[in-house]
Amino acid sequence: MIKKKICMLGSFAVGKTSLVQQFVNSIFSEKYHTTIGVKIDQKNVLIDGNEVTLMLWDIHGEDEFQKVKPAYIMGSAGYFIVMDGTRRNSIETGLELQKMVEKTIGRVPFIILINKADLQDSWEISNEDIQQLKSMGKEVMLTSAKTGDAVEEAFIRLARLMLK
Amino acid sequence: MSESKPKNIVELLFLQRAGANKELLVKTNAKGEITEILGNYLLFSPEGLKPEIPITEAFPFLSPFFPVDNREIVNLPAVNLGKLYVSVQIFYEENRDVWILFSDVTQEVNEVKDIIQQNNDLALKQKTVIKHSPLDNPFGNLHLFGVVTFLKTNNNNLVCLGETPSWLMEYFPQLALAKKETELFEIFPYLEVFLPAAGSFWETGKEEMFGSDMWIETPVDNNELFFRAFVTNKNGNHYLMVRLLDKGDISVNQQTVQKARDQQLLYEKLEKAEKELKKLLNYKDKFVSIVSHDLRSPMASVVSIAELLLTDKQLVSTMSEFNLDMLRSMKEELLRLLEYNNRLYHWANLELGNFKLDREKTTIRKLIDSVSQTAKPKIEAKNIRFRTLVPEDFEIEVDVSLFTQALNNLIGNAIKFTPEAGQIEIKAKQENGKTQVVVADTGVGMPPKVQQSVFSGIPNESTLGTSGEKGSGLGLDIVKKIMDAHGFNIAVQSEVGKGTMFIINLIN
Repeated sequence: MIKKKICMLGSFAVGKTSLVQQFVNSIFSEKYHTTIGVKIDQKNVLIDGNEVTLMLWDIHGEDEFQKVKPAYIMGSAGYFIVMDGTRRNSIETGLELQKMVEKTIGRVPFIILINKADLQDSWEISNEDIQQLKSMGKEVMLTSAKTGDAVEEAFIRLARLMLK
Repeated sequence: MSESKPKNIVELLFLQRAGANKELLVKTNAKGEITEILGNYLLFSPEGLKPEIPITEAFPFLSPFFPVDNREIVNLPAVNLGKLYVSVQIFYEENRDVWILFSDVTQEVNEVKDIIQQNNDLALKQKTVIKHSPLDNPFGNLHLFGVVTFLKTNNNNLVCLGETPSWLMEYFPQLALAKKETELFEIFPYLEVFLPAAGSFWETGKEEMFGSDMWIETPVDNNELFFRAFVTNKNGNHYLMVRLLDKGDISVNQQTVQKARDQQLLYEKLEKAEKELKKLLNYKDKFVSIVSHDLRSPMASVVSIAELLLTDKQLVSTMSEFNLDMLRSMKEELLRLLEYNNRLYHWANLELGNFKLDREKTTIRKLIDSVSQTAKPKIEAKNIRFRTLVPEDFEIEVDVSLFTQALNNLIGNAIKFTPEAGQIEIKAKQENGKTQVVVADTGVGMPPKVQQSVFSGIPNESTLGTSGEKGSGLGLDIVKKIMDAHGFNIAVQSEVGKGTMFIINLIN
């Protein structure tokens, strides 16, 4: 069976753990529970007839208390940069992390997930911001770990990109 | 023979070691008769130890080892002697003399007793024997502290050492069988990122600990277990240890970071709410500014019409005295409304910052004279004694129009709250390049609560003056805004029934 490592990266409280939980266990908790260290989950998916085990490395959020170590990224076949639609400053952290990943492991597929689509009324990230990210050549998807919107699609999309 | 008296340097060093007061060293002959006693014998044998008596008399559990027929080192890790737990080591000399070292390990045993109990309970529950490796763990009973230890062999294989902790049997029994690093990664993928760094550390040969970060496993029911890995070297061998962290410790760490992040999120929310609020306030000020501006013309027109009617002698001659009074009142009220509206307009524009400060040099005296002239009719109407103690040459650099408006409001306020035959005094002084202007009255004064809120930025409800004068409640707020715009500060001192004093410090 093919095994692929995917890293979940982004600022704290953007919903990385919730996205993994929604994808792996179809559950969502409203309570914010900060991730300390690294949590690894796995899920088997069928991509174009290939059974693939996705090893999902849910890495603690980046801030002044916890910095993401480049060693965590080693061996990743792809990654998600997760941003919080309601917090514009999560774009900056996300883009910095993306640079760090590219410096560490070179170019591998990644998707920017702008999470909390269920709270779109109170989003700080605008359509212009999204267009700007897209114009930088980045793939962007809007997800909601709460409702599950586009979550499975995002993981399958990244898996497909990784298998190309 | 001796009791606790060192005969040579070795014995002296033994007695001077840290913790020697919790140890006893006894020498016997091959039959077990005591020949030498060193250390704290009263701790282990309160009745006392005597030379030449058999050691088995004081410590019957040693009977199987005497007379000597065995020359291997004997290690009895935790012998229970009533309230004491004692570790006993027996060494044999070439001449068949025997050294017996007793160490008090009561504290250590008590610390791990609960863990041993838990381990035993688990073994009984699972009806399995906890795995015991054929190889001893050179670091001792680390399994009691939740640690599983692996030896990395020369051909890069892994061998699990000693007994295994209860968590391993409960959640990851396959871990004990892992022989290769790759098998370990299947169980703990996190180690994939740690072991390359660990490899570099092993190569240094350092006999200290090198630890990983924490990682989380959820073997059952989404129940998070926190782990850390450590590597070290000992006697040229490489060791890997995986430890289940104590939940109490983790939650303290987690709570700290969680709290900090919760606060950061709260701060971000407050910042967002503040921005939203400022936007709404700005909208409100703009609204007030536009409405008050647009109301000015129609109001002024109505005042003009009332004035026109009052100056039409033909019309006035046909009106009754009552109707004439009504018309006069209407004009007065309209004028007041117009004044109020003007203040509202000024206030909103000051709030919005819709003005440009146009500073010019002038004298305070000139400004005060101009304001006094305007206020003269009201001062005379209340028979107030009005004094200005302002030297003619005190220069200041202010926006004349705005500063005049501020002085107007302050003096107007003083007149309003000073009863008939009271006194208003305006003083100015210059000291060390600083100018101070004081407007003091002998009016009704303000209670402390009003003093605190008078410059709070929130307009106060209008209060009637001593002769029933009405106001807008915006006057002092406008003064504060004008002073702020100039970078001056203003303070108030007041006592109910005695009067009020406004002090302006002008910083040029």
